[in-house]
Amino acid sequence: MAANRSLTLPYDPELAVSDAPLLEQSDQAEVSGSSGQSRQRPVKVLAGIFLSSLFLLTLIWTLFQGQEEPRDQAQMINANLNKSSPSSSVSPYSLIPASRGVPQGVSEKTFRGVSDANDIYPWTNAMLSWQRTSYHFQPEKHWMNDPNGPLFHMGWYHLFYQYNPDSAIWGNITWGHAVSRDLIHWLYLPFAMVPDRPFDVNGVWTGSATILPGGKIVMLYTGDTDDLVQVQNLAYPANLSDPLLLDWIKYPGNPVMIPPPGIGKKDFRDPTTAWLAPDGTKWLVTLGSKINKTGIAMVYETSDFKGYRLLDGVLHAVPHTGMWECVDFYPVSTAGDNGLDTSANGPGTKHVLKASLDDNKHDYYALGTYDPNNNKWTPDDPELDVGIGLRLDYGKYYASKTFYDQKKKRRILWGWIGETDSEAADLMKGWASVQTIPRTVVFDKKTGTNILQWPVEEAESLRFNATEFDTVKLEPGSIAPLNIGSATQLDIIASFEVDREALEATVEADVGYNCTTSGGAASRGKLGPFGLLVLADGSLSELTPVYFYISKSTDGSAETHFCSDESRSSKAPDVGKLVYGSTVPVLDGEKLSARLLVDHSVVESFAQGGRRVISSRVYPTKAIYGAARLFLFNNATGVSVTASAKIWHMQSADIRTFPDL
Amino acid sequence: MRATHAISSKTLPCAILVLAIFVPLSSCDLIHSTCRKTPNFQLCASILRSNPKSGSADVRGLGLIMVGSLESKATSALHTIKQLLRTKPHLKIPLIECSKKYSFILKYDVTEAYEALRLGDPKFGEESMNDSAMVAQECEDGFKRFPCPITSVNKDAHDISAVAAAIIRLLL
Repeated sequence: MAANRSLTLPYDPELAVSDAPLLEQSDQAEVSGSSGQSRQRPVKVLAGIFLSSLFLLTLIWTLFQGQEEPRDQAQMINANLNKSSPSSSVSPYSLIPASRGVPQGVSEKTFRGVSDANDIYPWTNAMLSWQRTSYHFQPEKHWMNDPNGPLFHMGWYHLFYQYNPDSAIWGNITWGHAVSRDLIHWLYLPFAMVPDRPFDVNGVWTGSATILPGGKIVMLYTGDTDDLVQVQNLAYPANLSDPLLLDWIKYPGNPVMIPPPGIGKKDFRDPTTAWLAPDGTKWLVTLGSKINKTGIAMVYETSDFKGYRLLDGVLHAVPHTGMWECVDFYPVSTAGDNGLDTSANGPGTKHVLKASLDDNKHDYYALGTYDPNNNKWTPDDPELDVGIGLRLDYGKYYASKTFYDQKKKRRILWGWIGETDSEAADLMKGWASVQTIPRTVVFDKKTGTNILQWPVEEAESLRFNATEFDTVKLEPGSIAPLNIGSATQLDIIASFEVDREALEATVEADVGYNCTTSGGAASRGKLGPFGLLVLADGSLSELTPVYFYISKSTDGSAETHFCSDESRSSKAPDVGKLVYGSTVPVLDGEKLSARLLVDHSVVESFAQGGRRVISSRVYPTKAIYGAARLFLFNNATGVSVTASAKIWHMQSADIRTFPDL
Repeated sequence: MRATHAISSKTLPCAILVLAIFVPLSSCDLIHSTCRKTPNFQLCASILRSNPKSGSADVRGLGLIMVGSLESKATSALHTIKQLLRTKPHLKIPLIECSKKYSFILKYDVTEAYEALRLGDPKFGEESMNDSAMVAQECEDGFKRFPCPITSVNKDAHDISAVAAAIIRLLL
């Protein structure tokens, strides 16, 4: 039943690294060099040289071990700077470490004696309750994380999700369940699965649904067993003719997959949706793991979803990326505009391979080619391989998962947006985490190198009261208020044109600009930043800039950056203050365009039609309720910008319990 | 021949002496190599070495020991605070705040880290240990102008949390 094939990588680069190979080589060279001459010399000199070398070897090895420390710490600092984690730098704002907010290097993580500057923020109920979103999916209370098993069945979209029924922190994980006709208006249902079997008593973790020809549904999910081993289990609806899929049966023969030899018992989770094997009768499913620090995706084959055979080798592996969680694997059409069923392959398709990296809590993806006959996926560009290249979202975003919507022939992407405030605040407000607005995913035919994500069109049904601002001229260093009334639930589409002459006249500007290290919108350059200020109060004591920044190198090529700047989003010290973003491809003739979904403490920002996306969490203390405002701004020094914007207010999605159940 | 004997009789004990000194210093046992990757090597090593289970523990086990050490420290902090409430009533307000904070650390951060390590999703443990470092700092900060009577407790709790977070990072 369970597969026993051991995993063998053709070459594991990790194994090639050892502590002192260089020393051994030079040592050997030394010894062999000297022994060549010493054939004519007495044995005593040989012994002396050998012992001295041994002494030298141990001495150098000791020092080498010592050197590991600063290098590891440097890596840790870099890792910590790239993810949300506590900080205590000396700048006025980011003093008090936040558990998921401000970045912190190891060397800065020192205990401070009492000082006046470090006020603990007195959150009020008004501030905390404002943070709750109006049209993003979130449970009524408590903790949520990964989206699970999304699917469409008998007229209803289903979302399952990792949920803690007891508290606003992670733990006691069950499968929450909600349904919607339109991916926007959700109705809560009872739990789909709770941890009540030996094969999942310690956690009903993430999984995916597969819809078989004929409409049968199978769910594969990770269970944490009573022995604390991660296994894959099978579940299916108790009643397939129930459109709400209320009840689920766990296959009594679970688990169906257990960690194979060579894979850690705690490194085996998150099975994907299955796709048809080339023979047309068997199914293939993949899940991630790691071997040392190499992230991998391995593939199992099944004909009945009960018995599985591990395929030789791995679908793909990338060194130094660590554990691959929530692997996702699906085709996109290179020619058409629709999504594709997960089993599609052949000419006119590429395959996306995606992984959530445990190491840095980011979701990465790459486009490539899938060869099912050799169980291999190859990236189009190995330099932008999974885990080292493009991210699905450059903000607070993880554990994403797609499904094929057979009703509208779309591939839809869900993603978990966690909190970047303190755990104490989460406990006070009684909840943590939201899901993104579901996004369609298509191949970007214009660039050929990325996917496009865009909020599902059903989100537009929430729009009302449109206001348009046409050709607003923004001189360098200017701000233009957009008087639209309430500014906490908005759908904004904005475009920006940089003065052509000034752009061309600028020879060099800010080469090496990087959103994350830039210091945000307060850092002025010749050709940026310019964009929108959301969730800003009238005096701009709190503001969240979402902006473009153009850098130019002397050879004339320009790079456009798209950033979301939380550094001044709140007076409170115990929230995340990162600047998120990346470069975004802009093709000749394109204006710079952005779409923003503002929903209280969540802002989802899309650049160039969804080429790059940034999800942010912001927790203002003043720029809330009626005090929140919206502005256009241009903080560049050398160029004026013409902006246009269309802004809608967004209704609440009225997410509530399914009536009369 | 005589020369060879002379050197051999001296070099061999020298070699043994050299190896006896240097090999243990560069000892690569797991506690040593783990603790040097944390912000406070001494604290890390002393806590781990004083726990009998550490000798046979893997990195995850060392992390569990460190979380356990935080649990003890937070529990004893609560006792100390209770006593101080009687002897230093003028510090009642920050002391009560600290009592809440250490209760929080026990009820949420320690629990979450323990579960994350036990069940095998360590990233949640790293977050909660980062959080508890911050919470210990907040207790200290609550004293503002007054000298804090539990500074060493707070520093320990902070540093143990930071060390635990660093150990858990090694599992990711």
